[in-house]
Amino acid sequence: MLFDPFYENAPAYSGHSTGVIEIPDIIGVDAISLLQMMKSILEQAGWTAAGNFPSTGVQTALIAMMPVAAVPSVPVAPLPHPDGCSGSLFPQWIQATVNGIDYVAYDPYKYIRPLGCDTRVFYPAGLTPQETAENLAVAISTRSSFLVQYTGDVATMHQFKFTSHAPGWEADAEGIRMAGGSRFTTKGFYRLRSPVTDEGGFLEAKLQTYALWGVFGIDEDAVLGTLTPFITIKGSGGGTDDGYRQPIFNTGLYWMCATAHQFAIWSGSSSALVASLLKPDAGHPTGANGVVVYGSDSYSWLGWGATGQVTRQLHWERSFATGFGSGVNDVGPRSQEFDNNLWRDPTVLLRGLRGIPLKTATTSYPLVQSAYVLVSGDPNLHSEVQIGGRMWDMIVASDSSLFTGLIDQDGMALYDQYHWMKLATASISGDVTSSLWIKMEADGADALKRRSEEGG
Amino acid sequence: MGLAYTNLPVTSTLITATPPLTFLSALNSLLVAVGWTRLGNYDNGSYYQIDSPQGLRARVRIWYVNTPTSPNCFVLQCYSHADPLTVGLEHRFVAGKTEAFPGDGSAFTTYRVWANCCQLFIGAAHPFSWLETWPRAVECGVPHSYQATTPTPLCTRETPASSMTNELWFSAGDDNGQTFDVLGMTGEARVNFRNSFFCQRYTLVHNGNVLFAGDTGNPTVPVEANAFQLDILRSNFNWPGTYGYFSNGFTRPDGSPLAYNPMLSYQGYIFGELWDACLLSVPMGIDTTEDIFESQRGITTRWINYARSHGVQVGTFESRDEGRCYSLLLLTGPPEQTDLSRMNIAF
Repeated sequence: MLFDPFYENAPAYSGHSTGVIEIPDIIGVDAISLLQMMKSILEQAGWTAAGNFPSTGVQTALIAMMPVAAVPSVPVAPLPHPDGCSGSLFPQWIQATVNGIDYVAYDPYKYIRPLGCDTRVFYPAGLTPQETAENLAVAISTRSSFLVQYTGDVATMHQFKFTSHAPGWEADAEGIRMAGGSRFTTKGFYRLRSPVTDEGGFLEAKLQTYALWGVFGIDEDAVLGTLTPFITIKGSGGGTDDGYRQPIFNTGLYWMCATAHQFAIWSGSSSALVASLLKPDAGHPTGANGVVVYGSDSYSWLGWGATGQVTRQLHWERSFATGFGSGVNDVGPRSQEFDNNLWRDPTVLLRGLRGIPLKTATTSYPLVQSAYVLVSGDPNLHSEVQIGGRMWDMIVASDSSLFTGLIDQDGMALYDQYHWMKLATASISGDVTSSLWIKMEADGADALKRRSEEGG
Repeated sequence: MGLAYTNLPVTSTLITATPPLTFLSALNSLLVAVGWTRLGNYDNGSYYQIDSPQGLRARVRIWYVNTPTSPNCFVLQCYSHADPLTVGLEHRFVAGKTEAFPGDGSAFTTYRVWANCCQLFIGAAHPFSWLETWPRAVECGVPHSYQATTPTPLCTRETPASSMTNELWFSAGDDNGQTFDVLGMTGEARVNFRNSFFCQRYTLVHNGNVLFAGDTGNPTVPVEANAFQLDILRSNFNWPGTYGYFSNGFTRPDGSPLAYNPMLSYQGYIFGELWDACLLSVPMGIDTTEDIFESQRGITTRWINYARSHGVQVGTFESRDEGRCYSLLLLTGPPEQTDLSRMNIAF
């Protein structure tokens, strides 16, 4: 006896989608702005804060170069500082530069502290290099976006730790420079948690920055590399310790769409990511949800990504995470494996043909279908795929092109009273011809009311 | 989109293949009982008119031959109601097979026959391998059309009327059309709905046009649309059947499969779907039954699997094992009395 086995042909409408939001170039090229936008869009979809941590960095200064004050044998009246706010300074007289502000030690026994400088902060030198280092840390902490701690000396170097005053990544674009160390702070994050599904599952997205250093991947201390938004996805059901990890390179225009249990961010040419707690069919939930996360970029030390994958393919042989019970098991390109056996490749379940589109005889429209996803029980092991559920606010068309004929007057794809934007296309030889689309409209009160009246 | 129910009687029964004329007589009784109109004798058999609930119509003739090149065979042939000269292929199916040796698993004496008012599915009640040299399965009928079958006001304003179907029927079987003797046909039996979602040798007629009547051979790679086929759910990803860890169908984590419309397509165009039928996303044993409970309406229906799920060879060294990922269920009625006219069990 089979209980309610029927294919859910209708799209899995979430009822609370932000719709497709364009992230313009001016935001998309700025790491911090891009992260802030992503965070804001997730919050619009009902994701809430589940933790945060301020960014950090490390720096060093040469002990031998640290100025010290000298107590005069006979007290003298301090004089005005000869350089003041605008005088020339030799680079070695500047102990630190943070966000464009130079920190300069002065001898308090000889000079009056210059105040009110726009780009220069004078702080008192101590009687020992260590005292000066302490004073430097206090000065930077007072003026900048960072709490700076002098943490001691190692060999010939003073050690400093920078911690952002801001709760997350907000100050990461403010450069820091001493004798050596982090070029900026990184690793600060906001962890956003999706609402809990009826099945008890949720996703967590940790938004943060890292310094990505070309083919060598992440530089934890940001000594080298470029400030880059970075995202880690974890599920409520556990899985791989670190979850799924991927940079979102701040290269320009992006689109993003979020719902309570799913989000997607993509562009035409750079990092893309879809993370979804799949919707199980009514009457068929088992524990928590199936999860699929797939993306197009790598942070591996080899730097080999699968750029453009999401916008080209409907199966994901690299850079993906998948699992059941809301557990995220990361299988990235680091393994450099390509597997044909479908025990680890999430893919879409659909009706289509290889080689030519499947069309309706009536209208020559592609067949529009639910976005059912096949998920491997454990992508790191031989484990047969199962039907994970449907992605939210998405449909699959049995064609790689636009819905021929289902076009409104503005030239946009139209289906079931909504407009749809193409997210991915199958283009690998041997694939069933198909494409994946995401609903463009936001769900507001009107939309919810309408769907309720329709019984949807 | 709901399944296409005729809401008319269906039958699924076993009929002994011999003696042949007794088989034809029993088959005739069965077909008439489910709504076929017997128009008269044809050779030693009968010819019929079948009418779908949409008003589409075709004719079918079934008789028995016993010639040196077609020994001890039934023949089924569909043809056009509007133009009887438009005929489909002849599909033979043998009147039983005796054991060639003790324990010969290919022997059979009985056919499983399923019919409703406009479709007929016949297959040997036979558990042995899927391809042999004896034809023993045939399917035909008038499917549910996705195009309008009666002119709408919009259609009548167009000349000629477009997007209309006034004729749609098909026939298929595992007969390869070759001569055969006591050892069977020359060449292998053809893939058909008894053992695949593809049909290799078939006739498909739409609006008086014979879209195809012949043998496509194996579906070709990468274009597999050249064969008449059921549009089964499959993975987007290429699934070569030569690899291990191949999934036997698709199920949810609770083990339940998906049931969905048995759409029929040819050259990439979906013409319609089978009446009183559905596909399952898992393989089932041939001729095994399954009950489906639909909670919203509290209705249970019983189905029988017509398809011996199996992969299909699409090249010399390449197979498509999606054939292992579906079943073709034919409605046999409710386990207990239920008003089928109230059923709309899908979606």
